[in-house]
This record gives sequence, C-alpha cells and structure tokens, in this order.
Amino acid sequence: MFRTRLRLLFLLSAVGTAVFLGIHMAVQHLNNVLATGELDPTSWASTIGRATQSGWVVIYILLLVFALYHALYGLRGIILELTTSEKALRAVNWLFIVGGVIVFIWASYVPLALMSSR
Amino acid sequence: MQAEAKHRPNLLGAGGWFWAGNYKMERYLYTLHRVTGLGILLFGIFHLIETTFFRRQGESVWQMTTGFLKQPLFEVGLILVAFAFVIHALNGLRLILQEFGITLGKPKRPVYPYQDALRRKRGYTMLAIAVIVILLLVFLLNRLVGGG
Amino acid sequence: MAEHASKVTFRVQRYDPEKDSQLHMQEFTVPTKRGTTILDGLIYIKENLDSTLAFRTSCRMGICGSCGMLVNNYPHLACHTQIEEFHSNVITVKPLPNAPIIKDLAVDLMPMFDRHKSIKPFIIRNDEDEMAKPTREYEQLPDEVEAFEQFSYCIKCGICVSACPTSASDAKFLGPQALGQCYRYCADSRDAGAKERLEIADSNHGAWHCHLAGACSEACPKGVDPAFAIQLLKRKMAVQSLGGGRKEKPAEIYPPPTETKPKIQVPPFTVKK
Repeated sequence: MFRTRLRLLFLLSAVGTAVFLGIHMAVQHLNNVLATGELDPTSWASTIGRATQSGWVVIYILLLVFALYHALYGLRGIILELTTSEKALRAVNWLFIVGGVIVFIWASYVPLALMSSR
Repeated sequence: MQAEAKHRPNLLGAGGWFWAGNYKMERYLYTLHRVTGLGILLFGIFHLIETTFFRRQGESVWQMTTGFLKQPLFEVGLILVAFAFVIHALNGLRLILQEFGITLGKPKRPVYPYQDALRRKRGYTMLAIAVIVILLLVFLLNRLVGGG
Repeated sequence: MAEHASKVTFRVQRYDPEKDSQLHMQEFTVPTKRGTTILDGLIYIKENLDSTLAFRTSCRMGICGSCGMLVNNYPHLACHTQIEEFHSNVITVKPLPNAPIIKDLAVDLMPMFDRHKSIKPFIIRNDEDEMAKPTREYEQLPDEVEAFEQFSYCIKCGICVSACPTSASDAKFLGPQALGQCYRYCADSRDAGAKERLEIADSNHGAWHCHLAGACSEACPKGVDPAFAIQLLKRKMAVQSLGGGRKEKPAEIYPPPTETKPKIQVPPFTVKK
C-alpha cells in the first residue's frame, strides 16, 4: 500500500498547506479587513520584519515543506494521467525528487540566512 | 485480433477534463480544482524566484521588483491567485472529507429515480461553495478598503 | 390518450473502418410517437433508411448494457431513453467516448472488461473445498448485504467510463466500473480477498486517480453510484495502509456443520421369527 501512504501524505500536506498558506494569505491580502496595521505587506521593511522573527521563519519553512510535496505529488499525478509510459514516469519521479530537495534546501536557506544576518 | 487494430481510438484526452457531456456541477468543480491548482503552482514558481533570488539582492532590487509588479496586469493576477487559493483550499477540504466517504452517508438499494450519494448529500458541497463565495468577497473587500 | 405522431431528425455519427478516414454526421428523419425510444429510432433507421448503420443492442429493457451511447451529449442506454425526454426535434447520437469505435455507434468494451477482470471480481475464500463443491450457503445478515448490494447492480455498459475525466486521458486507469466492482467484492462479508484486491487498486493508475468529479454516478443508468464505491474503497485502502482493516474472518457456511448423532438403535425383536 505504498502509493496509498504517499497519497495520505499528499492529503496531510494539503491540510498543512491550507493552514500555513492561509496565514500567509491573511497577512498579505487581508491586512485592511483584519486591521493588521500593515499598509504594504510586500514592502522591504515588512518582509524583513517577518524574516527576522523565528516564528515566521518556522511558518514559512513548514509552508514550503507542505506546499512543495503537495504541488509536486499533485503535478506528478496529473502527468501520470497524460502518459502511460513507465519510462516517462520514472523520469518524472526522479526529476521531482531531486528538484524538490534542491528547491527545499535553497528556499529554506534564504530565510534562515536572512534571519541570521540581522 | 487483427480487426481490433482497425478500431478507432476515441479517448477524449485532456480535453475530456473540461468537457465530456452535459454533466452537473461536481464535474466542473473537478475542472476548477485542477485549473486553480496548476495556476497556484505556476504562480508559486515565480513567487519562489522573487522571494529568494531577488530578495537576496537587497532592498533596492526588492523595491524595484515589487515596483515593477505593481502594474494592473500583475495586480489582477495576484487577486486571481488569492481567489484560486480560496477555491482550491476549501474545495480540497471538501474533497478530503468526501474522498473518505465521511459526508456521503451509507450505501442504499437503488430505487428509481436514482440519486447518487454526492447529489443526495449535496448540502455539504453547497456549504463549501457558500464559504468560498464569502471568503472571495472578503478578499475583494480588502482590496476595495485598501483602494486597490 | 391520443398519440400524436411527429418526426424527429436523428443526427448519427458514422464511421466505417473499411471506407472512412474521418468521423462524419448523417441525418435521418424518423417518425416518433409517445414512448418511442432512441433505440426504436435507430432500429427504424436500420430497417427502413440505411441498413449499414451499426449499433449494439440486445435486451431492449436496460439490463444487458449493450446500447450505451451519447445522446444529445449525455450518455444513455438507448433502450430506456425516450425521445420525448429531450423536448427537441433534433437528436444527436454518437458512440460512447473513451472506448475505441468499432463501427458507427458500436464501441469496443473489451478494454473495460479486461480492467474489470484484473480486480478479481469474484468471491475469494480460503476454504477451497467448499468453494469447489458447495455444501451449504454462506451466512450473511441483511445489513451485510446492504453494504455492497447497490454496487452489485452494475451491467457493465461502459457509461461511467465514458463520463470519467481520468479515463478520458489515462488509458491505463482502472476506471469507475472496475474500481466500483473492486469495492463491491471487498465489502462483501463472504469475501477474504480484500488484501490482494486493494493492492491492485493501489497501483499507479488505480483508485487514487479518481478525483470525485462524480460524473460516473450521475450518468449510471442503474443507480450503482461507482463514485461512492470508490470513495469507500479509498477509505478501506487508507485504513489498511495504516495497519487497520477487517480482522474478523469471512462469513462461515450456514447452518454450521454438526456432528451427526448415531441413529436410534432399533430394539431387537421380542418375538422369534
């Protein structure tokens, strides 16, 4: 039941993404309705303000883990529905595993480096 | 078996994800879920590039990037991505519940006119759609309050 | 009630592998009255207008699953779909999508039957002797029958497969018919083969590629609700993958075998012969 376990992880990562991306979206897109006091959440001061707080960095890295797995496994599923070639599937599997790990390392290194440099 | 070689393939292909006949709402929620998912993924790639490569260049490059992205085209795109997130997340949560049969009830002996579990328990789907619409309005309200 | 005869135009998709390279539509005018079915219309065309029209039919009462076709862009069994349902003077008839076309409206359902066979659609038990030479019935309570009964009405017409968006692009996808039947047998209290069947449904083109578009259940002419069966199958797979699942034994034979008591001894004769 290997694929079922991977799929359950996919569903778990969906919930995780919904929660953490929900927080991210609330900060970015509901600043006026929620009166967060942020006039422009995308300004340099605002982003760096969040990047220096460990709580936010943890949230962003967790979001990265959940979203990356959910996105890549979801895309793999769609590709699988477009091709019956086992060779193509193996190539996609490796591409996504290696690509996913590289993106995770890079995209979690950046906020950690920003936080430690402040 | 030779005759089989002459059979004309009739798979609808990826076009069948969008239309295969005059079906009801859930068939198009499936399409919407797939389209919003792919849209968010596409945005996510650009967003990761922006927040890693560009942000590492420092304040001036960041301001130039965000300044460039404050064009109406990208602003509309950003609202669409927010909408896509709301739709994908809430429809996805509905799907997770229904995929495990949690909101679908129990099997029943089919009695004409037949009604399947999804339609019998459509209230849950409608509830998810109602929450989606309310949240979309809240996101839109935020834009209007902030003056876009 | 007075029956008003009227005329309806049938737009039928034609394809002859011997002659045609492309699909094309052909129009026929068919007289109809109250109660005329799509199948009646097609039979009229074949008998009176064009004997080369090919379509598959058998029981004409919605039980054999032969005459599934796309009528006005919705899959129906032609035999139990009446023309007046459509409130239209033009009826478009095409073969079911997602199945290879043999000729005109006749499609090849063999790929679907092969997928159906692949999920082992029969009761699997460990008591092989009893299976080979049954001596009694298997015990089953009404609630246990209800758990799978709905799904056992499948007539294998292929309509659900034609409605499924995953089947539209993935030729290897097991499809709503086979996956629905997979659950039908796994949910049967007499069955002991769930483990091996769930492994088949766990494949790369298995149950997790159902995304609950629900079109299969909507279109099913027998109310089988394959989408529901697949979701229950997913639940079973999730429970099994986490180490849960049914631990109790499958249903026993009923009435259970008992030791036959020795026959009552006849007392000896008291009178000499």
